[in-house]
Amino acid sequence: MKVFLDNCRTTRVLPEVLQVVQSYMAENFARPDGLYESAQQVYDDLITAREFFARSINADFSEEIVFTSGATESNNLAILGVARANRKNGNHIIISALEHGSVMSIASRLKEEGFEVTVVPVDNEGIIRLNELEKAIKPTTILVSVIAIGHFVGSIMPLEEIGEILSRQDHKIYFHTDAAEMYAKFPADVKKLRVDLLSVSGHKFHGPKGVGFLYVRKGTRIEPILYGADSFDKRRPGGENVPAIMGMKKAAELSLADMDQALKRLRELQEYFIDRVESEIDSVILNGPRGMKRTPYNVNFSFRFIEGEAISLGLSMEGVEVATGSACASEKLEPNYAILAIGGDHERAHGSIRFTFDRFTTREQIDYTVEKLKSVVSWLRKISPFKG
Amino acid sequence: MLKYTELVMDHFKNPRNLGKIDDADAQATEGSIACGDMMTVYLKVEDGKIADIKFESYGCAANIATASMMTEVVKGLSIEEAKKLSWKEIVERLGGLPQIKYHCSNLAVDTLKKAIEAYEGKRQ
Repeated sequence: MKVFLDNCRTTRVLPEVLQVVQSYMAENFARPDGLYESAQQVYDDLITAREFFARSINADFSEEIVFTSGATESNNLAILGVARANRKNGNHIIISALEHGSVMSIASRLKEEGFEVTVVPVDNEGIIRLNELEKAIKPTTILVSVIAIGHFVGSIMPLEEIGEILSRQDHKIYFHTDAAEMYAKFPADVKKLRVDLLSVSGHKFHGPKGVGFLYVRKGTRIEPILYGADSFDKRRPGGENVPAIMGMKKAAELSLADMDQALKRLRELQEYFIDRVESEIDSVILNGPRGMKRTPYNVNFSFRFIEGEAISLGLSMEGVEVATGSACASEKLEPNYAILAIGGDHERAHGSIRFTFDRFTTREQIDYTVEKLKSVVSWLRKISPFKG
Repeated sequence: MLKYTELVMDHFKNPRNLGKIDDADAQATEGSIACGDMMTVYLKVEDGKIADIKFESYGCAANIATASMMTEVVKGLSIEEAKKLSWKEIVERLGGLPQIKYHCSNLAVDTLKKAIEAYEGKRQ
């Protein structure tokens, strides 16, 4: 049996999506800026797609959607673009300790450009400390960027409360969220969340890789990060990846139509999985929150006394594919920062395994995973000299 | 994902000389939990030769595979020959390792040498 439980890294493209992508590659292949009928058709389709994505997040204007190559580019455009364009108002930005690696890298780059960056800590469940966030705000703060859902430990961030805190300040602070794990899985309403910018990636919900969008609230001062010829959208020049954009639209339609049911079903499945692991395997630690503070798409356990790369390879040999926070599996040999950020030590990071579902994950797959997990964990514990 | 050779995967799946020797002549543990790899090596010595060797491992696939290969190489060697073993030889025998995993073969050889030191220390 093959069980793919690394859906937070990427998901499979659905056949309905593939069909759309293919048709825009082979048939409706024109670019939207041509002065002929087939180009006009593609132009209309892009406009429709933009309207669809705007509606899907309750944005007022379709021009507030900028198509990008994915969440990394969306995060770059949002943070670099807003920070650089608003520098005369201040040079301070705030991020959380659980941001995606792209946001961490962008923050480092901004430091080199003379910006000041505050990283607000999270509590031991991976939820941002709101009082620390509020304390970090200064007259020079121009941007706050907080991930919607921690991708390693599954914590849902209190975006509405952050939006509320920021709206109470006496100067404008832009609010960006990396919603890669949220969009098309949870309701994402830019008005309710009070965000000015929101990043989305298509391949997280069964769309193609290399496509995403950034919501930019009308009136936001933002600079482009790419420069090019006249195009569909001057904030992001270069040929639009029409097949991928249209495929992402199809994927979002399918995901949004099934969203409420999927949340309900996966919450039960998640609870079942957590219960089984906690009752059938000794010395495990659930990383991240329980219940409604956690996305039902994520389960993350640390298995004590053993190491995560060996666990994930052992599982992979049985057809179960997962992610680990072990240093041994990272290119820099560093333990996972999310586990350290929630107060875990190196051993807990090395022994951590992340299981992420998609909306098609079945109970049968979870049962299979638990069985294989039990045998891999007990085997590795048997051969380990470290017994605690 | 790191790419391991088939031989590394084979040693990971079926480690040779795995376990404990209850009446070992010497043993040593090296590495640390914080670094994510730790190993214990047990030695049984007869007539100056490594008559038996076993290991336990807390660590990644490379850690387990290098320890397994190390025990296979030194079993039957004289203590003096075993002392000359280098981490590079283990890597070569395994058909290579990702460069960032070289320290695992280092740990296997270091733990062996510490166990030999412990054995020699006891005899003095």
